[in-house]
Formats: sequence, structure tokens, C-alpha cells
Amino acid sequence: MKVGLLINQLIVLTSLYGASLNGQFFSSREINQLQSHELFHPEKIVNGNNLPIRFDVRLEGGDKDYTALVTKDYEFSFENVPEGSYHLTINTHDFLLACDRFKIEVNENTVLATDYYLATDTTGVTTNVTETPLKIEVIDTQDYYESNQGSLKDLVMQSPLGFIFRNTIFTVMFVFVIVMTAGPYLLQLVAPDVAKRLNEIHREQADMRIEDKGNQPKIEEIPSGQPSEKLVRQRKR
Amino acid sequence: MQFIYWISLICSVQCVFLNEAFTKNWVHYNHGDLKSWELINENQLLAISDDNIIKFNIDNDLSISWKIEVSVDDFIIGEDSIFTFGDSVNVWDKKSGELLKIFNVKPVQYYRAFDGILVLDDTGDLSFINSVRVILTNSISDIKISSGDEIVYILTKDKLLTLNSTLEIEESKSALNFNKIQDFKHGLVKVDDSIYNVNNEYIHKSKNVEIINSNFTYSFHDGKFKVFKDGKEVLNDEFDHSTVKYLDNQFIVSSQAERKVLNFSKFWQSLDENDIILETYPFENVNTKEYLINGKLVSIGVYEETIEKIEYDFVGDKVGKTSYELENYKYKNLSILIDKPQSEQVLESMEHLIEEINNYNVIIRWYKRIQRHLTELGRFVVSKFVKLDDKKVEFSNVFGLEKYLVFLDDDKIRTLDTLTGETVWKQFVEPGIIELIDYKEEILLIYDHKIIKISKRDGEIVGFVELSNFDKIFKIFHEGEELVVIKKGSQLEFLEESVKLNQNLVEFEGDSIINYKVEDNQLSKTWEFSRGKIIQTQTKPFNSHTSIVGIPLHDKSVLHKYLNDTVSVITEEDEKIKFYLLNKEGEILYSHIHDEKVDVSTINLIMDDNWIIYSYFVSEPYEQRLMVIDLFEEEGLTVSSKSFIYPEKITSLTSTSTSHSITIKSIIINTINGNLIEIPKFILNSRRIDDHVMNADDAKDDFKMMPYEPIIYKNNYQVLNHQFKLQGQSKILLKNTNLESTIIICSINNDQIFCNYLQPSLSFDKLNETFDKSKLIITIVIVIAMHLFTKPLLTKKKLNNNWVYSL
Repeated sequence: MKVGLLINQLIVLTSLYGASLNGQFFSSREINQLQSHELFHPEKIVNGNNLPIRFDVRLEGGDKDYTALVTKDYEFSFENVPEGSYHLTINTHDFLLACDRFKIEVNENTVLATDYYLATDTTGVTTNVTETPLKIEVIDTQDYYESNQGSLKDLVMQSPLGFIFRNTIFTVMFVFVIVMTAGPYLLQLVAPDVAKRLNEIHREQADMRIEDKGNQPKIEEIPSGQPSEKLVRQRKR
Repeated sequence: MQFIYWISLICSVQCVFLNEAFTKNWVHYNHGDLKSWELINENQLLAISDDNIIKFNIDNDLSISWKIEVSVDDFIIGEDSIFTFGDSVNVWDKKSGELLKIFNVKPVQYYRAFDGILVLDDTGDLSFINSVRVILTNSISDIKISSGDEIVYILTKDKLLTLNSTLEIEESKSALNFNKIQDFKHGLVKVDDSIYNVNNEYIHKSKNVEIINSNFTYSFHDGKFKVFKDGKEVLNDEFDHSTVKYLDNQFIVSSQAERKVLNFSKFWQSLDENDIILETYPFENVNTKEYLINGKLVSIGVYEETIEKIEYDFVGDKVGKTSYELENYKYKNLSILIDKPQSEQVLESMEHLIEEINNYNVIIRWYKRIQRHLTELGRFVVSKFVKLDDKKVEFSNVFGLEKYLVFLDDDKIRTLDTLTGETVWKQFVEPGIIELIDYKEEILLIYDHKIIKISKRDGEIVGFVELSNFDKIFKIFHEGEELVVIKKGSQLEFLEESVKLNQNLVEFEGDSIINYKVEDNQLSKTWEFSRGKIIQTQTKPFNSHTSIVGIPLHDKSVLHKYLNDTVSVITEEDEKIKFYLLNKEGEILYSHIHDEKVDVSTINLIMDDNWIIYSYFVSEPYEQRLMVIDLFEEEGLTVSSKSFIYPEKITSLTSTSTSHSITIKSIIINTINGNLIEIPKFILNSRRIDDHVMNADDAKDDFKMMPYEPIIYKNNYQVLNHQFKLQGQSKILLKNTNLESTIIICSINNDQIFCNYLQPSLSFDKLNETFDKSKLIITIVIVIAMHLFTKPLLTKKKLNNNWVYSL
């Protein structure tokens, strides 16, 4: 008797407070790694590190409009939604969604979600979301910048030398070789006096080396086929 | 010499990057009055206002780390989380502001305990919440909590609950008089200045006694300061000071003149008076909260427009005071965007020039001019090192990219510089302003009985005009002159000038549109239009220009635009929305009936050039529509119209205009999500091909002609606020610049102010940020290198040629 009364009360409460609609965003990639291209410096932008809060989830169509917050796990929930027909629209500042509008039917015992598209009479798949959350796929990030086609960077990267610049070590080596090769010529053009002085220093160093060679003990030249005197002496012993 | 040549070339290259001198866009988020706040650490402050939770960084500058648009009543800062209390208990990540969990319970009482919180909700359930919710007990109406590291005591009216860190709860009967308990800390209870333990055993009594920890208590009364251990007096001192506060082993004793900080850390062990360390600082008399962080006593005071932070550094024995300005405003729906006024320097220069020309001979004129130029140069050089009066120093605004956003902020007029977002001036004004008008060098504040004139340059009040019984005040351009017209009954008056006006005037009065013929400032009614309920009406803006009067077609003929004066009207008749186009005689030129279920509150109407655009939301099917009507003249009026669907709800519409109207027009829409989106007019073209497959001739029939697609897809590259998420419906303000390509746009509402500049035809007269500067630099470097390389070769060749001739 008491159990029956309790169930009756529960049914009354449910019809009074309505149903709940839960949703979840998912992606084949980790959503947190789908960081928006926009956020080059997320710390400099308010909520730049808080992408879930940059979602706008609205349930419209009843006596009042509802909005829901999106959690860190990319979930949202509308509680106590009265029976009726609604439109769920989702706007996200950072992501692209596979579908961002649904017709929601809240009945006594069920909550049904149907995706639909603008300017067509055809509707998509109807899902029963009474017990399970409405799954909404995130397919990519929003891109707010047009790529600068034909930039110098693209030109270099797509050239045969592109492989060098894609690797830091190769790039450093390449720059070093270029500087060592072109440096003296450039110096002659930019600062001829310095280049001249540098040449003189080189010449002086070369002369000194030649002079040092002159002071070194002379190596006896041995004609081919004749052993040296020292060797002959050693053999005689 | 060559080195100087190189440097000068590089400098000239740098000068090209003019656009880097401008900040493209900025946003000021308005957080409202802060009603509650706590310091998270030395440099971070958490605060709540009516609609926001905000985490501020208070380091060198004040900045917002994160901001959540949600209404909460209170909050508790946990170890890694923040708990907020309102219609539910929400848990947020302290670092990023991400929402971790929502618990749908209505909190009545809440306390911090262990690594979470204890919440008593409206159903009588007492639960412990951190990342999950554990219900501890139920059917409780009121509690008092004594929180400790290992044990939490929970007192109900008749029970004592002991909770340990593994959330095991023990229940026993309590003999304490629950309603008389004044304080309950560390297992000690204060009742009528007496201290008891949880078993209701009396410990001691003293006037104004306070609990320090489970062993110590203190009292401060009539300048006598006493410390007790287990009920026995262990210290008796006298302070002739006004307040004593205990904070984590320190007593802070404040008077009007100084603040003493007494460190009791060693005293608790030794009970020796000599172990008390005393620091004395001059006291800044501000209403603050105190925190002990990293050996510093940090006092924070939050006021309407500032945050004051005072740091008492015990180790370095220093006091540092920092004041931060809060970006807090109360927008009262009145705002205008005006040109930045000329500086006093420019005005002075012009005055001097006129004086020179009129009064002096050539030599004195030359001397005066040199003197003035040297003064200006000196002032400019000094301004680079010392902050001078801004009014005296002219900063470059050649292109007119710098505007002033003037708006009514509660009881004052506030002006922001659109380039930097900084406040230029504030002027407190009387309440009751009904309109702001930009008029010559002044801003007119229109009241229902007077006009106050304030200077654009500094906000100073420069004039006052008494008015009586006027119907309307508005601004017009007459023969290139700005005129402020005051309509009084059937007569027009002017603010300053005496002008005889002869033209038509269309007025929207009540449920009618009335046309008046103005002859020598006297109004005479010529026609009236009245159908159902008039929802919106629009005429072409007074500053509208048309650069081309027709569209050249593929067969070299011209499709002429219909540019006569018209009035657009949207009415609601028999639960249907109707559009009417009237000519200046009041005749209906064109009408259109919408059979759909239209939400009347969503209608927005604009018109310019030869077109009319209006937006409305249809509830069945659930769509946002944009109706485009283009007017042409082919043996009379020809109307071309198309309806488009936009994926988001539109809250307001406006169109761009430039100095010479050469740049293509764009429509700026404000969506329900707060986004500002630019849609080029060529997309909203009613002549887009829908009745046959588009061919080459069709493509030549209009600029960027394309086949008709009912949906206008949202293009991310056209989102003007792409860096920042905006919210709510805002007022969009546009102002053209001296550059034909560029328009300054600002949007303002009570949530934020946003400014940017837009270029509908891209940047054709100014380098934009996508310009490849590296390519330009490399080209110049290559040219210089080639020049330097070929120069000796050329000299050599010349020399060789000379040798040949010599021979």
C-alpha cells in the first residue's frame, strides 16, 4: 500500500518537474587536443583555457528558454524540462559539430531527439535520449583565419630545399655553411677595409707558417731504389 | 658610409608597416559590482557579481584570467576547486574555470571540510561534496560546524555528529544549548562569553572571549589583551588600539595610526612573552580583508572602481600599496561613436597661422613660424620621455582610425578611445538624459527640458540651453552644415543657426506615419499612413551616398537603380506581417505579405542605396529569415526580392557606409550568441539566379553574381569578434574613417564593449596584416645585394672600356 503511494507520488512529481535532457560531445580524436587554431596565446584571451564554457547550448520552444553549461567532460544537462516540443541549438566558438540543431520531444516517459537541417523537409535520425545522453560529434576546430596562400614560407617549404627547413638541425647546418661560404664575399662588399685587413692577417699568418716550416729539421729525400745512409749503416752493423 | 646607407634603407622599410601601429580589436568585459570576493593566492582574486564569477590576476596589472557568465549567491575556495552555491552546487576547476560537476541540490548551509564541503540542502539532507556527493545523514534543519584537519564536529539541535576524514560518522546526544551557541571552533563552544568543550564541560569565562584553537583562547576588552591556555591566563597585556584580529598564529592589532603584527608561533610552545615577535607598520585605513601568504600580510579592499592591495612584507620589512582600476560600468542604452577631436596643439597652430597671416610682415611671420615649429618639436621630444598633457600633444590620427566611443555609464558620460580601449575622460551628469547627439566640437546631452553641451575633448561642460515643450530633437545635414533641429508642434527651430528649411519630413507617431511639408520652418501635414500595428519603419540614412547609379549588364546596357526617396514600413495586420514601400507622396509602391508565423519581436529593418533588408524569425519552420528587396528603374519601379535563411537567430542589423561609398556595402548582424558577423551585400543579392543554370552572361550581370542558395552559411572569416566570445544583444556603432576601405565598428551592451575595424572590400588603400613583409624585405635585400655586387663589375667594365679607348 505504502509502496503504491510512493510510486504515485513519484509519477506526480515527474509530471510536475518534467524530464531531464543530457548531452555529450564526443570526437574520434581527444576533444582537448582539438585546440582551436585561434588560440595562439590562450592565456591572453579570457576563457582561452576554458573551451567548454565557450559553448552556447539553448533549448527553446516552451514557455521559457533554457541554457545549459558545458562541463570539463563536454557534457551538458537540462533538468526539469516540462512536456512539449523544443529546439536544441548548439553554438560553439571553437569547434565544428556534425549536427548543431535537434528537435526535442519531451513526453510523459520519453525524451526523443531528432537532428534536422535547414531549408529541407527531411529530418535525420530520431534517438531516444531518455536514459542515455544525446551524443553530438565534434568533427573539427573552427578556423577563423584565411591561410596566406603563396607566402614566402610556403614557397620555401615546398621547394626542393624544403626538407632542410623542416628539420632544425639541418637548418642550422645549412645556415652555417651558407654563412661560411658567402661571408668573406659579403664582407668584401659591405666592409672592404675590414675584408682587406682580414686578408692581410691571413697572409701574415700564412707567411709565418712558411717561416716556421723553414726552421723545422729538413727531411732527407731518399731517391727511389737507394736505401739511405743511416739504413745502410744500421744494416752493416 | 655604406653601413649608414644600409641602416637608412632598413629604416625606410620599417616605415611601411603602418598597420602595426594600430591595435586591431579589443574587448572590455564588464563584470558588474563585485558583491563577494576572496584571495586565492598572492596574485589571484576570485570574485562574484550578480551575473558572473571572475578570477582576476592582480600582479603588475589587473587582468581577467577567466570569467563565467552564471549567477551564484556565494562560493568557497577549495584546494584545487571552487564550490559555488545558488540553485545548485557547482564545482569549478580553480586554475582554468572549467565546470567539473553540477549537483542539483539547493544549498541552505555550507562549510568547508577536509578536501570538500559539507552541504545542508533544502530537503534536510546533509552531504559531503568534492568530486562526488555522499549523503551523510538526513532530516536536519540546522547545523553548526567545527572543522579540523582530522575530525569535524557537526552540532544539530539535539545531536553531536563526529565525522572523520574517511567520512565515517559517529552520533551522540548533545546537552549543549544549540540556540545560544555564538561560536564553534576546534571542538570548543562559546556560549555567553563562556567556553565549553563538546561534552558541555565548562572551561572558563572572559569578556569578549574568542577561540584560537583547541587549547588557546583570547579576549580583548577595555584595552586589556589576555591569552588563556586550557582556561588559565598565560598572557596579560595592554593595547591602546581599536581592533584585534587573529590570523594564523598572528595577532593583527590596528589603530588609526599604525598596524602591529604580533607573531605568536613560538609563544604557543614556550608561553614566554619574549618569544612574541612584534612588527609595526603605518596603517592604511581601508576596509580590507587580510590574508597571510608566503610571509606577507596581504590586505585587499575591493571598491566600486578600484581594487586596493597592501602587502606587509615581514622578511623584507616593506610595505607596498598597489591600486588597480576595475573595468566596471553600467551602460544605460545611450551611446555614440564620434571622431576624435583635434588636439589643442592643432587648434593653436591654426590660430597662430591665421594671426601670422593677418598681422605680421614676411620676416616676422617666418621668425614666428620657426619659433612655433621648434616649440612643437621640443614638446614632441619631451613627450617621448615625460608624460605631458595629452591635449597639448598631437598624436598621429591621419587616417582617422582613432574614434571616441561615448556612452552613458550610470551617472556619468564615459569616453573610450577605440584604438586603445582606455578611458579618455569621464563627466558626471544629472540623471534624465534621453539622447546623445554628436554636434560639431561638442556632445549634446538632451534632457526633456534642457540641453547640456559638453566638450568632446575633455568632457567639460561648455554650454546650457533651456527648452520647453518640444516633441523631438534630431540632427540633419543641410547644405553641408550640421544642424540640430528642435520640433515644437508644427514648427521647427534650430539650436544655433537661423535657417529657413524647405523639405519633407517623415515622422512615426503613434500608429501612423505622417509626412510633413516644411516651408520656412513651418510644418504642414501632407499625408498619413496607418495600417494595423506599425512594427518598424525606415528611410534611407541621411549620410547615405550612392557611388554608381546603375549596374552594367553583359549586353552593355545599364540596369538603373531606383534611388528616389521611399519609406519602408512593416506592419502587423490580422496576425500577419506585411511590408509596404511608400513613395514621398505616401502612395504604396510595393507590398508583401508574410504568411508564416513570425515572432514580431525579432524584426529588424534597414535600408540604404536602392535596397531594403529585414530579418525576422519564423517559429514554424524554426528558421531565421532575411528578406532582401532591390529596387530598379525600368520604365517605372521594378522590385526584385529574395528570401534567405541564416543559421543563427539575428538580434540586430546594420549596414556599413564609407567616406565615398566606393567600397562595397556589408551587412553587420548581431546573433543571439553575441557574434558580430559581416555579410557582404553581394551575397544578399535578390538577383541571384534561381530560374535557370547560371551562365557566363549571368556572371557578368552583377558584381560577384552567383546562383541562388536559400541558406547563407556562416563564414568564420566574417566573424568580427573571432578572438573573443561576446554575449547578448548589443548596440552596433559604425563610423567611417579617412581611408575609403576602413570602417570602425564598436558594439556595446552591459556585458562587454568590443571594437574592431572592418574592410568590406579588403584593404586596398592600406597594408593589411596578411601582407607578406618578409617577401618585401627579401626583395629589397636581393636588390641591394645585386646593386652592390654589380657595382664593382660596372666600374671594372668602365675602366676596361677606357683602356680600349686609350690604346
